[in-house]
Amino acid sequence: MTADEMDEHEPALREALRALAAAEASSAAPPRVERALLRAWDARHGRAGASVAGDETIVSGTARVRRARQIWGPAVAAGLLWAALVAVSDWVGTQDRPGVERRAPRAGLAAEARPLDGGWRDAAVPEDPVLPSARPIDHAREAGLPAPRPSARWTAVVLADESVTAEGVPLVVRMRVSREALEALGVPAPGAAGMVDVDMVVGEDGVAQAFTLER
Amino acid sequence: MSEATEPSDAELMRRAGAGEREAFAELYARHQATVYRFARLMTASETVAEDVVQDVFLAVMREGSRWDAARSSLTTYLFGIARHHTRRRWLRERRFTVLDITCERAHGRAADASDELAHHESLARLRGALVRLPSRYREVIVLCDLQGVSYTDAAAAVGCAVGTVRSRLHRGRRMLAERLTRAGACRTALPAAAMRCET
Repeated sequence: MTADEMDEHEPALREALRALAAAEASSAAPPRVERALLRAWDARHGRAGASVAGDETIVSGTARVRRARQIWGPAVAAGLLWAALVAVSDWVGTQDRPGVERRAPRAGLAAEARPLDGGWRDAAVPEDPVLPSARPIDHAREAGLPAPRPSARWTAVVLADESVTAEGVPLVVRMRVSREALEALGVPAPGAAGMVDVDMVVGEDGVAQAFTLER
Repeated sequence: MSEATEPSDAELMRRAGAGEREAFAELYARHQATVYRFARLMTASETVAEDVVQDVFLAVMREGSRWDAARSSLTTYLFGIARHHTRRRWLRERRFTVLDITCERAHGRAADASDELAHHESLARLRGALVRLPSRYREVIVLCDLQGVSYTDAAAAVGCAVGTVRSRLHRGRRMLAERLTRAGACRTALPAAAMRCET
């Protein structure tokens, strides 16, 4: 912008800035900020009724979000992992029981859901949206495919809060991730530093729904 | 009968330093809006602005004795702390800042909308352009043009010479005008520029 152009624009810019200043003139911090600060003051000065010590009464907006993630993220992941493990153990327990009725798989699904070159060769899609991790293996077996055995080498982590394959045809993607990256995401990956093979179930919407990783 | 006068900032700081809660509350009431507006204009985020206000007054609570009334006004001192916290927040969280105003949408709406809506949209565009300026230019515009701080006080808050404030202000305004014009926001935000654009 040349000096002449700037000269031409400057009055309008000043006017716009004045309008913005006028619009901002009445803005102020909400009362909760004052309340939090005064609680911090009370705690700092040992006033009666101050329930939290020091400046811990101050919880910022962004920190609130971050803290909620820190608390709930691992809790949800642990819960889902527990649910997956319960489902797998349930499947193991019912394998040889006579009279356990199993539904036939949807035709073609097993073939569609096996893009891996190793590890999960027999991944299949269940129709039942209730049991996320046991059914695919059942269906694979009934479809005549060699079912994968639960392996001590692999840990399954279910991210979705509903059946992994309730809708659509998922894609299984194998990738290599550093252990540090997994741990940064809150997924424990014990062992030496290095890369970990991860098989990830990706829904039709492109969102990761579950993954397994080598222990 | 003598009329009761309001205590000065220095007096309130002294009393707050001695542990008087009401003095701290009065200081907060007196200055929170200024700090909040500065942080809001600097970051375009109400959440961050609230955090900055908290950080600033926590600093006053802990280290208020560092303020020297002979060197600067309390407002300048608070701007200095707010600037520090705002920059820190900005560097950490700017990746997540969402500026949702697009020129096409704004133009399309402005054709049919009321003057008030057009006014709000032009302000939003201006805020968006402002928040995209480099911080050294943004802060002097926020201080001098939007908060009416003198060049001398702005220089004290920013920690540079008055001449530097002037040059940054000049350069910042030019960049702001360029960005608004380039974004096509000239029609409402810069009426004079609109005539150039449409002819």
